Amino acid sequence: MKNKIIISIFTAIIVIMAIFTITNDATISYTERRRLSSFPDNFDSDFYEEVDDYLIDHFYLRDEFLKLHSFVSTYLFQNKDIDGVYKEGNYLFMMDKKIDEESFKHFIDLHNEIIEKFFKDSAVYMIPVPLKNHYIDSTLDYDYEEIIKNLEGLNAQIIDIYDDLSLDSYYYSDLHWRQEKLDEVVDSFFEITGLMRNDIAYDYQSYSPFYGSYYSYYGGLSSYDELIYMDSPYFDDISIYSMDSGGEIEVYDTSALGSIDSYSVFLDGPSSYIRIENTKANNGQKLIVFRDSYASSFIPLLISSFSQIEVIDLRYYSSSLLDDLNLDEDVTVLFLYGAQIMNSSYSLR
Amino acid sequence: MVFSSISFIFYFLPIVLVIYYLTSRKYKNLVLLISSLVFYFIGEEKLIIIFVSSIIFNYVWAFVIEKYHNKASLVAGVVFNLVLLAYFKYANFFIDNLNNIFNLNISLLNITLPIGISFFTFQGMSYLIDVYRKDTKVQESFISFATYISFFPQLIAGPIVRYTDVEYDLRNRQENSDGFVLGIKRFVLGLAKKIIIADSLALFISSLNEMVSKTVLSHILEAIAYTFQLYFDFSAYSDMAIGLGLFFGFHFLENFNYPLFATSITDFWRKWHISLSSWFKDYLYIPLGGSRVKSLRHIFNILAVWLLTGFWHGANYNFIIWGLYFGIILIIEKYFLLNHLKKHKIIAHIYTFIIVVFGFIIFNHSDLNELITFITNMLGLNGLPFSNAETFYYLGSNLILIIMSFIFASPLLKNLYGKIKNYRWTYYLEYTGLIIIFILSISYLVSSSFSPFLYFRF
Repeated sequence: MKNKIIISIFTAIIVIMAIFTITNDATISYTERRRLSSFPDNFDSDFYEEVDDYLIDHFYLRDEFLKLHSFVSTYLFQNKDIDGVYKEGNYLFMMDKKIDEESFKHFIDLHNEIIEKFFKDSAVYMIPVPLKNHYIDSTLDYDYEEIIKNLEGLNAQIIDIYDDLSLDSYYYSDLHWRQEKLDEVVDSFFEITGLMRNDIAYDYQSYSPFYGSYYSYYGGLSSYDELIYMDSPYFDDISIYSMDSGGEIEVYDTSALGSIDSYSVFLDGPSSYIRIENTKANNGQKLIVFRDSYASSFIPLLISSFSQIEVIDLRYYSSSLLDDLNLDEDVTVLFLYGAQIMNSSYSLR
Repeated sequence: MVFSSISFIFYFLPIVLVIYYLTSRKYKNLVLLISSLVFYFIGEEKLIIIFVSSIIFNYVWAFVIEKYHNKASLVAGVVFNLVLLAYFKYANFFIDNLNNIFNLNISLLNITLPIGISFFTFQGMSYLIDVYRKDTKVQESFISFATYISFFPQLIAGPIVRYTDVEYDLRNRQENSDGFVLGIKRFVLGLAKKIIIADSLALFISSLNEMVSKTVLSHILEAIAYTFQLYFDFSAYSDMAIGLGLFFGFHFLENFNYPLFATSITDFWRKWHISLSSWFKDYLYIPLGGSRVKSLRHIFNILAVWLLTGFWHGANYNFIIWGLYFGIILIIEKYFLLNHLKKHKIIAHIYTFIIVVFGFIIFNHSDLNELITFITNMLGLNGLPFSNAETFYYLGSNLILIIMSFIFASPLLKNLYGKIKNYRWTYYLEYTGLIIIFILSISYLVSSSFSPFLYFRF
């Protein structure tokens, strides 16, 4: 009898899991912010491995099993990190242990070439965005000072924003900074550049739950975020051209909220080239921003002060094609990059 | 297909079990044979022809050996298996060496190693030798013989099951619920050893490898972690194989018996990969004369066996060195050390563990320059600091894992279980624990990427 009970329990677990897994037709995991593997179409040499990937992705109660795994790793095994992501309080951090000097050299050479070719006579600034790791007493991560030191060869004026931010300027579960916490960064930018500033009133819009890119590592054991974006009626007449969509986009793409990457609400997410025209700002100030994703949430805060902002992401738009954009020379140039990209800059072309 | 995959645990195995138990006794071996061929085909589509050819040859040749019963027929059968193994596993090694020694430029062969070839050729040879020695009769049923060689629980990475050990089960096995429940227990514990312990150790080793500044301590930790990883990975596979065998009424012999807590290297090799060491003992060491010969010949016998044991693991010099390393230590123990070790148990445990860890450093480094660098780093001869914050971080982060590895690799829990198993509550505790371990294993499985067993490559 006892044997029958044991066999029945294991049979039930296996049958239930097998049936619910094979009938799970989800295509997206929002907590993991990714598309799930699809069932392989072709019967080739990778077929069985791909079937396993599919089954793992569609496994019944996958999110709950991921939580259990995180729980056991964290509390039973006392692992201090899961695949390089560690937790301090409510915040998740991706370990970044070493400055890659070659990467910084590549970054500097690439941007110096751009300055030399297009912006010899322009004012050029650089905002290096600290890792949120830099705001805790982290044993293994490199220091913010090392970033500043490694940017010495860059022919741009560094705007050091370290003191303008704090840990709560960042999301719990994501690498990015919070738009609503960037007031002091905006202040520093205008103070150091000496550009004219036109402040506007904002409506603070909120979306929750925002699952950041680190959330899935701790499978629900960490806090998800509230994403706040600073909207304004002022943006109604702003014209934004996106090269990727080939047409107009909004300052905030609210359809991205609740998608795989809710952070794409800011300026339509990753884009190779965006041109923002603001006819209400008749000060003639023009800005060109070379950037990564940190700029997506920062640039909306500058829109009211510039008649034109061009935004270029060299991960998706090669510097060898910059001639095609007919860039204005009488502009202010801003390089805005997070430490992650500078330390792994080979994707910038 | 690996045992520790969703497709195997939740689909392949249940389907095979249902078909098997619905099939009449007469066709059960046929069900196992077809399932095993499907299992092999999933992992090795094209080379299944090699596998099937090997089965057919050994099946037919056993009749030849039985009929003529001369050494020539036996040698021909053994040579066939060795040639098969030599071609697929060692041909490029020999070509590479010829090129290096004689400055030749012979092109390497475009060969893919058929999965499990080291295991199924050894099973084939043991069967032919047993038939020659009249330790067993020829298996007349091709289905039964092919089931013996191809039975999927032991097909890919052993244990090297001998025909004489499963001959009875092939004809007369009786499946029962006691065996099935024991099979569940062995399979689940094996799954946990692989997924929770061995794969976590692999991540720990990977972290140590990627350290910004390595230290003496990080090398020591890596060597210890690798030893444990190899033990848990391989013994997990054997546990799962034994468990799977029990599902179908087969009784495989144990392949591991807490080897990392052995009291000498002689003892270690009675407890580690038992089916391989006993194969070499019965089919090579004893035919060479074993220990009942003069000392010089005895030493030769030991070195020959261990050179080949090392070489069996892979076509690389580090495996040969690894085999000879253990061969030399076994000689030292037999002639000098063993009596001393018997008197000092704790020292014997520590000595054995250190020797084994060093052995597996050799095992793990196919590049001899890297091997030397690793050992000199570990011994502090290259000026590395003893430790640093990064080392302590990873040590702290994996301390529980290391402690658990020591506990689960020791007979401590088995001894404890032996003392409490007669209590009524033990049963409920045991199987509740087993269900929890199974669910935990699934959680690790779901969060992991593809991780094949280490012994697949042998």
